[in-house]
Amino acid sequence: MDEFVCLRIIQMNGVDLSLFQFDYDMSFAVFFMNADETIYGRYGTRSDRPDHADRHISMEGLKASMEGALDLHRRYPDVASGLEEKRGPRPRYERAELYPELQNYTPMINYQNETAKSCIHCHQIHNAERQGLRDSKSPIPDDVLYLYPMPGVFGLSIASDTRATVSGVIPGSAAAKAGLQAGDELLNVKGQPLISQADLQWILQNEDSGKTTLPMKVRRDDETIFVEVALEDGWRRKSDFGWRVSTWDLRRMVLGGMVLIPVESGKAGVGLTVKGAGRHGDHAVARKAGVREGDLIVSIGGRDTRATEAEIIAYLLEETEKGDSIPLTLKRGGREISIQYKAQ
Amino acid sequence: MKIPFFVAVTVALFFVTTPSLLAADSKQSRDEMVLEDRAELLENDTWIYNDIEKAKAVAKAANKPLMIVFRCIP
Repeated sequence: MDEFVCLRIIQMNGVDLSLFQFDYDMSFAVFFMNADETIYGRYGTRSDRPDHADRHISMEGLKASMEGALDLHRRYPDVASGLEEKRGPRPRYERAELYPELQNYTPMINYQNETAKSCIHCHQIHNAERQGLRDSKSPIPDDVLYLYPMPGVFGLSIASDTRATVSGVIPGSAAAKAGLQAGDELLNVKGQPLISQADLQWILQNEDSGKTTLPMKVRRDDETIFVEVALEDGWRRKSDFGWRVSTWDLRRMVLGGMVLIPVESGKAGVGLTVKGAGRHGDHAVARKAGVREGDLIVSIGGRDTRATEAEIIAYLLEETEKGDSIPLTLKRGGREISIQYKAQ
Repeated sequence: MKIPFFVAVTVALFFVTTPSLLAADSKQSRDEMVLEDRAELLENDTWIYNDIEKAKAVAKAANKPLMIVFRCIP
């Protein structure tokens, strides 16, 4: 720790979004950076498993990433060219409070009055980005919806106590086809040195959502080898965003505030049931239309085939605009009920 | 490398779920927790609180890398 200058940031008010781009659904994220704003790497990955949100982070993993950052710092500026892409494209707004949706916030948190309320939470940036697109009737691109994909989208898992060592490869996956194996240490992907799984997710986040390839430099035993992972068209959509805090706002937009969970196979319809329906404000739209907890979704927005909640949200975002009526057929106590609610 | 308690606590805080935050709220308001957290860190020799320009200046003078932790208010 003494080898770093340590900074704690607790809010997104006033934060330079052209520099600090990360998965804003995190509640804990780390940047390693040079004083000249060259980014060495990121740390912090939240699991999509609500019962085990911390499975991708550990003290050992953080320590390994810190050592990786120190190594890059010692070799800087010789390694500078590989770090350029660690900084992202120019954002739509340079500061969170410049988003029209966040204009009531100030560049500084208010320590004198209603301190917590004056804070822009990280996930509100995702919300504001999507709301702006929705309001302007623009489609929400895959890289704004399927954020910071896990390496699982191409069949890879990373050991949480390492910088980026492969802990498993799914047989038949793109990672397996590229020849990656458990124990392989990912040193560099697309020219960027890796010091964490978050660095790999950063690369995936900025990768084209269509068919593409990821060249990788890998250490296997004492050898350095090069492999290339081929990602198929639509690879990004394999990631699930249902766990994300910012999905709460997507539920408001197209589910009228419903939270949907899967039911056992064999049930008719989309295979989802209503776990919860909001009770307040714009999150209560579905409830006001007649939805109740426990209702089985037979069809929604014209879709009646099995899907996850995330797939339904993505489908409705594509198919509807703000103000459209969404038809919903429910099953309650053996009886079918048809209602409609408004997209937001 | 010895990891100080604060980092362990920060990581540990990551595990905190909304229900436990709500439980904490019953004892201490969020505003109080933010202000207490700030007061503690402002007195801390290791951590700079919410001041990127100061952190960059210190890092430049010391030729050290920055470790910047984004951690939501308690």
